[in-house]
Amino acid sequence: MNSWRLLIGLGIGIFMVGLEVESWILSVCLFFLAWKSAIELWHMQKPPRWFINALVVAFLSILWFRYKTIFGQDASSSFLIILASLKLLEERTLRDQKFLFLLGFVLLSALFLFSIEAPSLISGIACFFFLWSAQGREIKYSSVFLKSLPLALFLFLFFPRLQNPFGLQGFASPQGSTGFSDELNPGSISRIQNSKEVAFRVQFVGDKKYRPHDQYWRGQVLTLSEGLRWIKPAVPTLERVFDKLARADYEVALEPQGKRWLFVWEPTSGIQTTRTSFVLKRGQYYESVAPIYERLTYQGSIGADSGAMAAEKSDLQAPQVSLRIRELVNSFVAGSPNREAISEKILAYFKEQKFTYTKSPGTGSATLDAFIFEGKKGYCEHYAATFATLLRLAGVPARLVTGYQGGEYNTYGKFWKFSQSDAHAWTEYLSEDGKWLRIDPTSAVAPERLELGGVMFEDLPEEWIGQNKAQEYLKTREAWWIQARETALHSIESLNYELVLFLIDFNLEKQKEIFTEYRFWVFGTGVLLIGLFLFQSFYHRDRRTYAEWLLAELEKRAARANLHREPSETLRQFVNRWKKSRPDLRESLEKLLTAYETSQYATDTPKLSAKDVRQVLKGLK
Amino acid sequence: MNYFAKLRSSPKFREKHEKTYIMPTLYGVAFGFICLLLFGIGFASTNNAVYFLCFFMVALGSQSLILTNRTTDKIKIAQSSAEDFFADETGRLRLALHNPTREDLQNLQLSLSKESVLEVTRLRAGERREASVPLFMKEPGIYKLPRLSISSDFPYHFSRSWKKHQLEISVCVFPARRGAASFPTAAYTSRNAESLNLDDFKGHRDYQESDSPRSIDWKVTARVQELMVKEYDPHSSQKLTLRWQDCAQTSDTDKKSQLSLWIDLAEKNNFEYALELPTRYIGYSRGRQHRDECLRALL
Repeated sequence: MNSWRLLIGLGIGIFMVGLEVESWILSVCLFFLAWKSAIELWHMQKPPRWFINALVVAFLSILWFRYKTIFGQDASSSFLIILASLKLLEERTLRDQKFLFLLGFVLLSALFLFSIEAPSLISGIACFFFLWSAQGREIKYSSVFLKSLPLALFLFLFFPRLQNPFGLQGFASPQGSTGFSDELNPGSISRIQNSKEVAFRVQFVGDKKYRPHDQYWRGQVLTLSEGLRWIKPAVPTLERVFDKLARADYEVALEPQGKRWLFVWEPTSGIQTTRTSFVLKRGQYYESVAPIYERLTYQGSIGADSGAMAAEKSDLQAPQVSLRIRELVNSFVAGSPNREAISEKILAYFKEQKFTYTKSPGTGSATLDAFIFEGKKGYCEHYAATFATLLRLAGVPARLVTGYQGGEYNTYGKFWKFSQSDAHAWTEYLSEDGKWLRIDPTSAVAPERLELGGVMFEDLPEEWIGQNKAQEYLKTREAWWIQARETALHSIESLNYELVLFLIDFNLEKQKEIFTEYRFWVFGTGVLLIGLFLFQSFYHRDRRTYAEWLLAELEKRAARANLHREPSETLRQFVNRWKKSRPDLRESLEKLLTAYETSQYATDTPKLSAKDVRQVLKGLK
Repeated sequence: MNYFAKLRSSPKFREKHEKTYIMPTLYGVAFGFICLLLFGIGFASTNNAVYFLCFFMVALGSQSLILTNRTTDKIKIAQSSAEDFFADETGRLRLALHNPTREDLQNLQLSLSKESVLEVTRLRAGERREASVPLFMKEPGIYKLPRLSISSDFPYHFSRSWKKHQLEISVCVFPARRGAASFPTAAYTSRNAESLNLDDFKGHRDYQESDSPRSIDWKVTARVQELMVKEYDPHSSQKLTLRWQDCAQTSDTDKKSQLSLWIDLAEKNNFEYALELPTRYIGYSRGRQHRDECLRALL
């Protein structure tokens, strides 16, 4: 086996999986890979086996203490890449190489468990190619790959994707990755917003144009206020039967999050999915019954779903606050004819008091008092939490909603992408006519956040925030570069999305749907793929020279007349023998002999055309 | 009935009915296990990328099986022959290999036993090639060669395919050539062996282990890529009688070995020689046929 190719193939796999686990593990693996490269380059001595075995035990113990198990996705993947890099280091024999070759495929599957997006798939293909080509140069890999592709595609398309009957959650990590938790603290959303990881993607049905500030994607509703801190208590489930949607207005491809939130457009009348069971909670938000550890797609239908919901006592619950805040709230209530007026007064207060939106509010805004009277700097969660608490103190039923707002529209793929930068919190209050109305207090201090969306807003310099000059900013050179970068990324992102959507969506239901709707095409494709596989496997291109072909044809025809050429016999001797037994073929045989000799020995002389030769060969009966 | 027996023994019938068998190697079993493991992972996590990886590996494994089977199945043994040889020396089973297909056949192994193995790295499309499998026998005697095993694990060593080719060849293994290289004085009947006239070049023949390395013609050896020695015709009317009782050895086996060496030397030096055994006498003559008759008499 080719050690270098094996090293490169495994190196790609180890690196890609290493990116998904803790960084110190990747560093350790890279060190071992560098060591192995040095051994190969400068023929250094390999470390003894006892040393490698001791390292395996040591790392296994560390991982055990760190994760308390080795069966979780993170723990097992970490162990796998450490094992692969150590085995590479001690590789001595062909047997070791074969072991590593097979281990490489397990590594690849671990990589795909973490991500099936384009970068993972591309590096997976590279890893596979290097691993496979490490086996030697006896055969062309491209040819074998091409020959194998039809059968692989056939199996992929037609092998039924049975549902996992044991309800296993795969090997996904129970911790999940980034996302919201069951409570909102100052800074909890800003922490999420630092990540550019994709949260979900949405594709709308129809041509209706949406803008970032239309995009409010509801995740969960928090109802227990502790000032700036909001908590989600045990929420009753609404009794609701979810029939198949009459029409789907959008489809969401949700990334794994380890939580149960199913983000829906505001307002959504219903959702449907075959991949998980879900419930509708009081507060009009959807939750999956089981945590979401794998990519999930679901469809939603836009429509008002009885926004009317009677207020409960809990919607007026408010924490104990200082006298100063009490007085402030009283000033809002005084002279306000209705709840809408109170909310407007609070928003106006934010503007008048020069509250600012900042990415680093500091410790000056850690409590409700400090934020309102001293710091006056905060993130969306500061404004939403303060606004809702003040409303409740004023006797207005209010609640806090967390989810995503903004998003980026991909013009190539015609879908919206919501990343963690779009994480947002806003408020709802119950109007006098019994409807929950959305108020986003962030708009009062940073309207750019809604207009630009989370990703663009992240790059917006602090001095532009609150100036309400988003359109002007978009004309600057800096913004142009950001837009150009995003546009360039959109084309790749679009392909990626289509691929991811296909890979997520292609399940038993989809197979049934395709097989029912496109029966003829499916049958045709199946037959074509199998035919292609058989043809490629059993048909071989003629690699013989013209002379070799002619010689074989002559021998074949002679064999029919029970004449066999001796290995020591030249073709001329053989033809002479043949002529003696069949004088009637003398002329034809002489022609063919000339054609053979001309082709074999006198390459510059024009040879008899293949058509003529075939004609003469036909006459040899 | 006779017709069917005749049909079965015909080379064409045999060639058509040489079945090719195939079995996975340990490595192939491990590869299959990994495919199964990937399928399990794909199933448990409903991950289509893992499914595709698994199916692609299955397809590659199938391709590998087809190629391995084809490599063994398609090779043809056009001719086979074996020369008699001396015990403790290496004989040769000569084979005319033919690749009638349009693609190269690679990594073939032709073997008669664990020691008698020939590796053929590549046989090009349509190529005919002569090859020889080494033969090793410790004991003299007449042996019917076992079936030739043709096997291959090309291209990925996941499986090994094999077929058996009936040879129908018997080979005579003469007693090992051992003992004194000079003839006993009593064996000579006329002129002294030292006065041999070795001037007339007769031709070339294959090198044998009893030949002196000095007798190798290096120019010809370089040309034909096999050790060749020159043969001379001494125009001698020299006659030798090789007698059982002239052997200094005590055991029968050693005596046979000594006589075997003398017969070989006498033939190489173009003596006319006779063999006198306790139970048999073979009169004066020379030539390949006479040599073989004498050597066979020693079995």
